[in-house]
Amino acid sequence: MSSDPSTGDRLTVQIVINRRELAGPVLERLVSAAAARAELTVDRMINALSVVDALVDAADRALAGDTRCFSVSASPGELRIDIAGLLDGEAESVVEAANLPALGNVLTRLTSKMSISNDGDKTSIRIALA
Amino acid sequence: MNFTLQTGHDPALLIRLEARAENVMLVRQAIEGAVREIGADPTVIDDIKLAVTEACSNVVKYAYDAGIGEMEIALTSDQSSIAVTIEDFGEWREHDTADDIELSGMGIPLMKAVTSRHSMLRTAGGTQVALEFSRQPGDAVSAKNADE
Repeated sequence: MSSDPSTGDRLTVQIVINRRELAGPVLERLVSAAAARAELTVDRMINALSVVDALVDAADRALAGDTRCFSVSASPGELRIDIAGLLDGEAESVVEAANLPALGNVLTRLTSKMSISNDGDKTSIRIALA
Repeated sequence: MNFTLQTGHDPALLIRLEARAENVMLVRQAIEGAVREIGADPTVIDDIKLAVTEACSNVVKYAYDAGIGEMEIALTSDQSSIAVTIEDFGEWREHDTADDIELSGMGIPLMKAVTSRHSMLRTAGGTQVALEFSRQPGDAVSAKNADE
């Protein structure tokens, strides 16, 4: 979890939330700070906050239970947000839930990269904004 | 005065990050966001921000003499109180007794003043500072007086 000098990370924060209503207020503050450390442009900072809103909302609609595991990292020119510890199929459900009528999928449209990875019985979504 | 937080359940919020000076404000902001959402009284929110900032600053200053380590901040709440623990995994310098720290600034007196209960537990694996706040501002003093 630590910032890894070999990757040039300026910040890595691991967050576990067990009350879903806390995800938005906590994540938006952490992502704002991380976007500043990554020296993103103002447009990308605003995009990052829109992604947080979409991710939190999609997670609420797609996931059962209150627990959310996030990681927020900043390296020069890039901000990464991970949502981890998802069960099989949940990552796809979260991404699907971020589809907005007439706008498309916020998580794919506003990000530089979005990927779903599988680590044994857990799945995670990684979102990057450069 | 010592107490151990009896959460009995997972914390509402757990944050883990490097114990760097620039990360203290980040923790402060995240905790503020959480306690606002929980619905704490504005005066209590200010007290929580103050005490958490002081506790995290002490981790940055004293826990990792040999370099950078991590700190973990956990927040729990119930109907009457909000508790925050700040934990490090380092080894505080031998001469850094609580009295030394107290003499070095206002940190610990401030934490004492704004919490209804607080404790510091040091083990070989690190140090945990536990802070408990009454959800209603007037209750902090009466709870503390009842303990003493």
